Amino acid sequence: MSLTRLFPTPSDRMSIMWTLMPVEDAVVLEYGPAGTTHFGNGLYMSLGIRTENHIYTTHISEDDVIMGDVSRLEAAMEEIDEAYGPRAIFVVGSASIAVIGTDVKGVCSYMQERVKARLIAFDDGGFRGDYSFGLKAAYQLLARELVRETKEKDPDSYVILGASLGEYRCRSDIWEVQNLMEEAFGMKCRCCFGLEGKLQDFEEAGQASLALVLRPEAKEAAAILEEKASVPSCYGAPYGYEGTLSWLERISGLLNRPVSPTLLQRIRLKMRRNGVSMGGPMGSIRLKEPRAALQGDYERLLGLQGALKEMHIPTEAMICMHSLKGIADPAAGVVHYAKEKERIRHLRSLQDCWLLGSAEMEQLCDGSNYFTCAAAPFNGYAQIASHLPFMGEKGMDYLMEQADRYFEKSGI
Amino acid sequence: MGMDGKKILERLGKLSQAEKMKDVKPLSYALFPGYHCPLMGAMLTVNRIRDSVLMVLGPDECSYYTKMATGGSGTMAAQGCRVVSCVLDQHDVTFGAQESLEEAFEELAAEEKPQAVFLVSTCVPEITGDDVEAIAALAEKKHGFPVMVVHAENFKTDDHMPGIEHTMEVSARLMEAGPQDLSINVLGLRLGEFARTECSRFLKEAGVKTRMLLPGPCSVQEIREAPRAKLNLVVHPIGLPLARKMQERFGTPFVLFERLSDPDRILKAYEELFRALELPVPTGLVPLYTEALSRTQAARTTLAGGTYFSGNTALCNYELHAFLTEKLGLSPLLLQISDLDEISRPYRDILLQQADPYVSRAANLGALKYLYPVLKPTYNLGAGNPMEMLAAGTAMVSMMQAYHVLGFETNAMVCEAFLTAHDQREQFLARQKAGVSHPLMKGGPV
Repeated sequence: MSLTRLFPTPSDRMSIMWTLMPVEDAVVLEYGPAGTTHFGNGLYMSLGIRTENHIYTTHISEDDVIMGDVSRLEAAMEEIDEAYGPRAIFVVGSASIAVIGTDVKGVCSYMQERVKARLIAFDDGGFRGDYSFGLKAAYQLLARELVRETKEKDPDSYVILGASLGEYRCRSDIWEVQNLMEEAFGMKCRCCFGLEGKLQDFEEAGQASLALVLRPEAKEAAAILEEKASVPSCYGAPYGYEGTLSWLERISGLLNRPVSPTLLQRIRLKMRRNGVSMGGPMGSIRLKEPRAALQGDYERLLGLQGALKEMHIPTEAMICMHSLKGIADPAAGVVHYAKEKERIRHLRSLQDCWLLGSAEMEQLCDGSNYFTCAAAPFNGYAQIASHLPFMGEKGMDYLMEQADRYFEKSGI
Repeated sequence: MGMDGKKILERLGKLSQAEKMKDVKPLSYALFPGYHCPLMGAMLTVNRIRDSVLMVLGPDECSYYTKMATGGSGTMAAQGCRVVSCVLDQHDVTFGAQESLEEAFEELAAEEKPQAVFLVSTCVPEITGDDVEAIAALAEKKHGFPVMVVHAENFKTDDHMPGIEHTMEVSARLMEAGPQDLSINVLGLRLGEFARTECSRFLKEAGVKTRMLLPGPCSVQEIREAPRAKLNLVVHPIGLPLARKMQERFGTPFVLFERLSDPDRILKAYEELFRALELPVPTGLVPLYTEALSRTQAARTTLAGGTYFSGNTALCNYELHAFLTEKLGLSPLLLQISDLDEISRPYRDILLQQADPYVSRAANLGALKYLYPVLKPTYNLGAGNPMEMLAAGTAMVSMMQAYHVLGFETNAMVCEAFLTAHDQREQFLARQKAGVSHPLMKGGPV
């Protein structure tokens, strides 16, 4: 790799960590230098993940590095098991451990006899790919290792696959999806892979009558649920008013349940009120053409592009923050720059745009643009609220307000 | 659920039994939050050298967290220093990082000519054995700017101090001899502002200029000219390797003047400092000394007989414990420590004459809370959850100003911090007796 001036792309290991840590009655044990864990806690807390009693480190010494001593790891597993009684311990090796080549899975295998908690090992040390790869691996592992085969079904429940706390306002998006599902179909979320749920909820995920797959990285996990418990899935995320209606209608078709007429009426009313003919933010008389540039995760790029299209705002750039290697047939216009300097060059060239992206976008693009934080890294944009989504009806409300601000600022 | 505090104690040894850190057991094998790493120490030092470049060599995690910590406007924010990295991927791990590092330096040189680059080598390149020094030397020759390598492997240490120490030490390469003046360099002041300290005030009044602060806000030019100082004032032992190096190369003498708590030792440190500067000892120190003696005596009447736990502090730790035991009549029950260095042995000897506390390794708050109900210390000095402490009748001693004091004011801060904690504990116990719950305590009366 060459010079990295900005935040590097988070590794597979980092997203594995932020996907596993939210599992409520499990503990993540990092096998590696304590500094990694201590430093990492700053990131996890900024993502709204509680750390105390949920993450521990073994620390390592030269003995572990040179002699391959794993006694610290064994002792830590036994100690956590005895002291805290978690239902599972996710054992995650650090980058140093990956380089040394310690057989973490092997240690977990023989230690399983000595502890009550389920030991689940991850030995991706951060060198197999970026966070997109890690999300895929973590969702798959949770589905494969935890979800039980079942024929039992609860028609009023569903699961969410594909939450990533590394995505800006993830918690708010899931809140919106859950509200929409409740209001539209009266259905409850059993658990959300990557955000919330007890181990038992994941084990019983097969009882759900639907899996909502919000990101492409979760498609394989959805296939596992289908195979284990015949859970059908619906791929895609609700962005924009029209996008949300179409998403709800697809779910309605899959479940053979009608969407709440009140909800439909409310969203349609908003579409009419704020539409082009009403002169709202989408008003047709414009002094100059609006333009948007997006930066973020693949699914959000496509979602925002759709939402902006509803507002007649063309998108001139879609910069994906992760590799597109894992995306089958990526949509036209989405680019990923393996070299940071090419990304910087592209960002610096943007003029008079509505920028929806990370804090680096704000830092690199000039003042002719209008910025809305919509992606990580989001340093300086703390996430306190969990009710300010980009997805769904409320997400579109917010995007329209931001569009109005962009038009005002840019004299459009 | 939780850990069994009694079992933890069974594993721990006493201070008198600990000769080296390998003898000191952790409170638990599963640590939370765990130690800081030397990369952080290096970051805390380089990020305040305003015209330098900090280049992290390591996996993306190390780089990501460093960017995160140094961004924004927090206490660790970079103060003019540019933070970049050379992120290692699978190819670099397998075939070596030379190619990537060379490319990174090419790109850096194309963008700017830095005054100095601090290349911080993290755990992974230290394990793979890349010859980072040689690559840095080549880059230096090719691009014409100095490149200092800081080795920051975490698996050899239990805290971030070696990262600070090593960064300071390698910065000696930048230094050049020059005409001496009546000035000092301050070495080893972590965080904090030297200009706010009592010691700085006395030096200023005596006409002594402060030249370079390391760590501290400074420029590469100030580092270059540091040997022009008459004296190095070392306020923490992490400054000693650089001080010794400067003494050897430039003949710059040094005085060790840590954040001491005992009035006699503070006075002695001042005397030594002014003697080394060949200046009279300021008369203004006498009333401060007398006041510190009276304050200590008064605090003793309230605090004597109390017990405490302590983690690492910003002060001279073993000296603090020697003062607390010998002068305030307090008794340590558990010390969480990171070193057993020779320089602090005299203080440990004083402490051991009064008490023999349990010792454990530091930075393990997750396990520490299980010892409050077992040993029931009166006070806890250091981080932790104040509500968990209070539930066991333990008051938290908070020394928020610790980074900004040096001199008799340290004594004042220590006495006041303990007296405040004492009052808070008394109030808590009174409320408890009256059946009134603490406003921050969950549930009903405690």
